[in-house]
Amino acid sequence: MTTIKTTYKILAIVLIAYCIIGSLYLDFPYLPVIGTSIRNIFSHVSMWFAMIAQLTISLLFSIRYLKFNKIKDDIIASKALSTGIYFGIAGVITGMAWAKYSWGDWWVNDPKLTGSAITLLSCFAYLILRNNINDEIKKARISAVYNILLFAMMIVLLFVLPRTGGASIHPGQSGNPVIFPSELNWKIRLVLYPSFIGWILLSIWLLELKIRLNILIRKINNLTCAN
Amino acid sequence: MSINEIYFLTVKDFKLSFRSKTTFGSIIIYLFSTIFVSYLAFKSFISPEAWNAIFWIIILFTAINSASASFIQEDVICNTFYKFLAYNKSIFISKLIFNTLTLIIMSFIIYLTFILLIDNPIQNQQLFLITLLIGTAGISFLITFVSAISIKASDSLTLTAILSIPLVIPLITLCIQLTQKAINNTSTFSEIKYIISGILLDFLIALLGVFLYPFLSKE
Repeated sequence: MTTIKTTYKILAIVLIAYCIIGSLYLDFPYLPVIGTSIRNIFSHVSMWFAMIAQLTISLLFSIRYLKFNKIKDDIIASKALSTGIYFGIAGVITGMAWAKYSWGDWWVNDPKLTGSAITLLSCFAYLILRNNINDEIKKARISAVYNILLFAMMIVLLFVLPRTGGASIHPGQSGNPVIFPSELNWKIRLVLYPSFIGWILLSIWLLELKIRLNILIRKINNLTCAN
Repeated sequence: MSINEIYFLTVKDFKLSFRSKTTFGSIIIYLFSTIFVSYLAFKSFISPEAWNAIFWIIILFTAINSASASFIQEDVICNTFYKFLAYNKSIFISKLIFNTLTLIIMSFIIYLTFILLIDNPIQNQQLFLITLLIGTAGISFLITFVSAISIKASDSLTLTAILSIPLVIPLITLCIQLTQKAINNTSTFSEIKYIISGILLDFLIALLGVFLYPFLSKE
């Protein structure tokens, strides 16, 4: 168990170092509008994948809490959602920097951008909801229910609505050019797929640290947490 | 969960709202005062986009007020008594139906008041009617469920607004786009893709609400 715990952290660091070096030193094809800022794809898309991974972990542990009623599942769910918020904000900032360079403006009126802002707003609303309830078991149950609603609306906002809205300036409307390799150069894919894995593993490491810290604080405050 | 229980609970809600006119009347007053203030601001000329925006904003905030009022107005003893009499899902479905019918009636009142005071830029009335039904049904489903959540949390109106406004934005975006197309007089059949996605979104919200409500209400 200990070797798995240390291996995935070393793997995360190695992969992210490889991606940072690869994104800066390899030659990528030069396309008219984007130019050399295609290198931002490794950080921008990886942040969003890490956020979606964290929100999926949060959803799974919320459902698990509703089924088995163990407090530890609720701790994992809420910490995963707040880690997802960090990566979502990072994704928005990298996206804004990229938009300023290639489209000329920090924020445009686009369904995918609107959907990402609304997802972040609902995640903040989840944290406000958790803050307003005092009883621990009630807090866990109600925030688990809201988490399921949040995830369903996130799927609608980020994956369904941008595709129904007609032509859009944000890439990725028809099909899925990030995952299916029909439009990306092989050199980009060589650095991109390890970058996804590296950033997702880093987000899981951050989640593990937050959970351990929370459990220690609860032990100091004499709140038990049965495994 | 039986149709009989749902019917009697819905009729009970309607009778209560007619008996004590305070909640219903306060929502009507809220509605008329907001429309009158917007009329005073615009006086006679209003661009279609502004008409669109003001209309849906007023519907959204009226929905938040009326849906939370229907949950707050009964005290804890009555709610516990109803839980002995009927299934949980029946109580929630009856609240959904009551809020949806109330909001549809209010949206017609809002639309008629708008036509009276400010002019009517809608060319394609059929498309607008469909949009109104889809939009108000979806908004009322979502706000009923979220006010059930916030009642259990801390019983406040602001929490309902905070939780529901981000989640209602895709539905409002769809309704604003469809209303803009109704103003531009496009045919109803050419927007069938948006209409179907609106209906499916309503179904998704209603199914999620009915499925998740028993987890909320068991103590």
